[in-house]
Amino acid sequence: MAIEFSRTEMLLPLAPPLTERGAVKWMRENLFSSTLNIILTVLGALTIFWLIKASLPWWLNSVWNAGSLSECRQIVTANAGEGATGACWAMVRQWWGAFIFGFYPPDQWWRPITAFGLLFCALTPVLFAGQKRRLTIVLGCVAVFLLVTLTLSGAPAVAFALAILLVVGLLGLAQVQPGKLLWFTLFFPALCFWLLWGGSFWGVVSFAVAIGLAITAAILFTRVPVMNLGFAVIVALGALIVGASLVNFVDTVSTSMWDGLSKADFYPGYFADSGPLLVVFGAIVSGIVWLIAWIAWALVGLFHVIGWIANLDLSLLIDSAYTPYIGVGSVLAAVGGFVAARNRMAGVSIFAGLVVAAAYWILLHPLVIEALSVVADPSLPRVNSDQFGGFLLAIIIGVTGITFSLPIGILLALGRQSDMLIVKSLSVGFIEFIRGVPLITLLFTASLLLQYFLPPGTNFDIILRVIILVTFFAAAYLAEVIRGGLAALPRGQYEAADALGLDYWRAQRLIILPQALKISIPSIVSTFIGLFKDTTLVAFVGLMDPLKGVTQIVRADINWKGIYWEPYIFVGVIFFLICFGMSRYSMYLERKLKTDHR
Amino acid sequence: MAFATDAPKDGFRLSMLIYDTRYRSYTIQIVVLVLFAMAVAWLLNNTAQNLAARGKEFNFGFLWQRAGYDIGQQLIPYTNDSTHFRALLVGLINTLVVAFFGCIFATVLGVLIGVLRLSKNWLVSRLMTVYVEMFRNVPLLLWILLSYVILSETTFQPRDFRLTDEMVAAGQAPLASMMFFDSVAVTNRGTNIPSPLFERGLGTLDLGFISLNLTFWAVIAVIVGSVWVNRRILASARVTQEATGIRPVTWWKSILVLFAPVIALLVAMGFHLEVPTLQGFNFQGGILVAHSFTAMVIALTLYTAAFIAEIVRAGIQAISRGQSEAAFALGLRPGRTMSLIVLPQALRVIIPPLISQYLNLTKNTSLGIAVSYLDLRGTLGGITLNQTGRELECMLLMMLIYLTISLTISTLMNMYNKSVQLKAR
Repeated sequence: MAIEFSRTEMLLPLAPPLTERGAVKWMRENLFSSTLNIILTVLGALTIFWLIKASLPWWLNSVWNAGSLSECRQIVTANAGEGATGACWAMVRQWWGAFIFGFYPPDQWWRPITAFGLLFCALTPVLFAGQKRRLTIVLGCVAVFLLVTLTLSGAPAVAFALAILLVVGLLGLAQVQPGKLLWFTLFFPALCFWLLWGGSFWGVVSFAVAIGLAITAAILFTRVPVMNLGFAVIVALGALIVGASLVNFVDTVSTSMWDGLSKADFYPGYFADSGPLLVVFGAIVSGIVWLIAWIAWALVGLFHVIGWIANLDLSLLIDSAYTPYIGVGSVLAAVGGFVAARNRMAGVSIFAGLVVAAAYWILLHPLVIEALSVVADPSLPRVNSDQFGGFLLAIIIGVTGITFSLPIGILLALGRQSDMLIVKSLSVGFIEFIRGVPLITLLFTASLLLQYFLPPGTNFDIILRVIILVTFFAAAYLAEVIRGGLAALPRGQYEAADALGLDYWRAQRLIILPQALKISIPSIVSTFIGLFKDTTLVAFVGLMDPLKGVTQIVRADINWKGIYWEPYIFVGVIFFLICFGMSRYSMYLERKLKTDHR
Repeated sequence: MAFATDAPKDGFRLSMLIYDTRYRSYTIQIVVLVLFAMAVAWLLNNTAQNLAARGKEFNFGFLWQRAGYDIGQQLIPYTNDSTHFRALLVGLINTLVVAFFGCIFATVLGVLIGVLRLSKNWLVSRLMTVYVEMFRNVPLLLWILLSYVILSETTFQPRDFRLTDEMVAAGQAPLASMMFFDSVAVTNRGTNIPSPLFERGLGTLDLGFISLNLTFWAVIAVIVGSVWVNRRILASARVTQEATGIRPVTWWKSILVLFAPVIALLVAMGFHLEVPTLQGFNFQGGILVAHSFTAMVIALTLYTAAFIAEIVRAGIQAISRGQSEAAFALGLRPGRTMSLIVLPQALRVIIPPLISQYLNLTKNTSLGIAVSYLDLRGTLGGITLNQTGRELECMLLMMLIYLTISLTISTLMNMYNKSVQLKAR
């Protein structure tokens, strides 16, 4: 019997060949898979090698202690020999204050620092809504950050007390009711304004009271049936004020417009000496002006007639010259009160809240401030807008612009998607105009033209003007981005919302916008990043941005003349960190909100 | 017999203006229109009052006054005796020139980087990621300022290019040397490049308000003509191929048609390059390209290329894998798969955002003010505005021009987009 050979146990698998495992395999697959890839790898490696060879000595020979650029160069030569290059970070050591704060008084630096720390306290409830762990982490980080930076900047004890009290309070609140932290976010703008520009603290308190009143009023009027009467009264009062001032306004404007027109200010021939091309332009402009003036004029006539018909003699209240307006106001007020009492519409109750807040602000706010100032006067020294600069300015403009551009952008996008022809064409006109011109021209409008467009004698803060224009700019871009999201939603979503019987705003708020905004998150965030980068352009209207404003001052300093890599790298790295952080956050948000399985 | 009944025909009540969705939109629109008209009237009224208070009038007559300032870079004749309108034109052309070069270079670089970023090569794709993130997350202004400063502060003075007899004797080389076979010199005053000259040019044709450079237009006309003839050749080759199945050899015809006429014309007109040479303290001859222009083009290119790279990457990734797998199954090589299958489809995704990048680039040229590049913003919105003090007219005109440029570009690109768009049934 032949002995048959057969194995009874399995052979152990051989190890894969050397070229098919570990680092070698990875390199074969990822670096040297084909001729082209080998060439690319070599080129890439050469690029990296060249970059390192050119810049490594420069980084290694960095000088951190010197009084001027020539001193730096001497130190580098002494340390590394003739012809060596080295970075001179001593410049940053000397000037970092200006890069961060501009000309903000150094003994007040604790104010922007505190505001910056509290900014995160205000942001986290929005960014990480209701997530107790993340909220605690962020607030803890803010507390540590404030402790360290405030100590370093030599802040007064009051600042410590204020900051720590606030952060600890918020931390406590985050443990008990994380949702309630949003109230701080609402209150933050006033606090921030007070910290940065100074003034009396009672302004902040009074602002908080106004917000509280507005919200309480709005909630009361929608929820408590007993308040129907008061509700009607409030809305009627508000409508009266708005109506009267509207009519008054139309009258004034169109009367003086009429005067202006009768003097042929905008007559087409006026442009005749500007050459043939401009006559056409002039004719178009004058035509539009004429049309608008006529509409306004006709409206005034209409209001006069209504006022005369509904003339309720209230001349005891206001100068008799305004009687017609009171009449119109009363009609509007009656309609408003009627609507309000019957329907308790959400929009009207917001209006009522605003009326209450405005009434408080106009009538009681000065009295409250005065009364409180008698008791104590906790005020901070005022800091002027031209002392702001550096990243402080960039962050103020960026954060405010981002906050306000989102709601405006959403409204514009909805307007553009709307079926109403006039609303739609106005939105399209606004969006296309803003998107068609460079931001720089809008900033110049803020600095040069606003003085023409506003009533004579109006002059308000340049930072505020710039913020307004930057907000409009970002809003137009956001509107297009959000429109993309709205268009990307399947029609079925709109139809389903209609089928459920939701009205327009409910459908938008509950069905459409949450989905549309989710789709457009990446583009929204890149618009925000663009806005933040664009804050550097404020240098062209005389504000001191970190890039051109401060760097120019540094480079004009006799000690640091001829330095260029260091300031630009310093500023660039900070910008990079902020913008890169924002784009990473948008990725996190996308992942978090991902509900489908595409 | 009707199954569906019509809506009940009630009489119109005033309250329907608010409660009935059929009428409410009219109410809202009229209110909005009135508010808008009032806002515009208010603005115009304020403007009129402010103008009157300042003793100014709204008038474009200043455009025909003498400008009185010089512009470094001028592609149409301009002296400081010319009018402000002429300065405006020079500025406008400068804006368009930067935008043109920026768009072309940024597209080339951006497509290259976008494709490389998708490459399977780990090292190269990482490098490109670093490039994109670095340029996207730092303000454009920084890149403009940095390139300008590097160009104007690290380059040598013209005299450093000089080779003196003593240096020859001592065997030394000059500090700096010219590039590209001694034809380009980068100094701290600008970049000297060769200029094309013609011994027997065709001269210019004066049309009153503009003069045409006939030599230039002749070259353009010949090139356009050659391209057209070449397309006819290719078309007839395709017809032959369709009919017989054999494609005639055309490459030598194409080369002949494309290059021979232009070369013949250039030789006939005595074309030669005038190379800049060092004479005295500066370079003479050739064209001096200002650093502000170079810096603008470099910065705009690098910055926009990062955005275009992302657009290209997204476009290519949007094409489903099945397409390239099908191409491989048909036996196409990777290069041809890319050029015949993937890119044509990706283009449809790429073009719309690419248009807005071109628009952004064009608008970003207004940052030239940072390096004193006299574009539209620098002439009309800068020196002219300051000299004449007519903020309102200058700014409005400038916005109008930018708006026109933007709308023109987007219209043209949208037309192109329509032509490559998938023809849906």
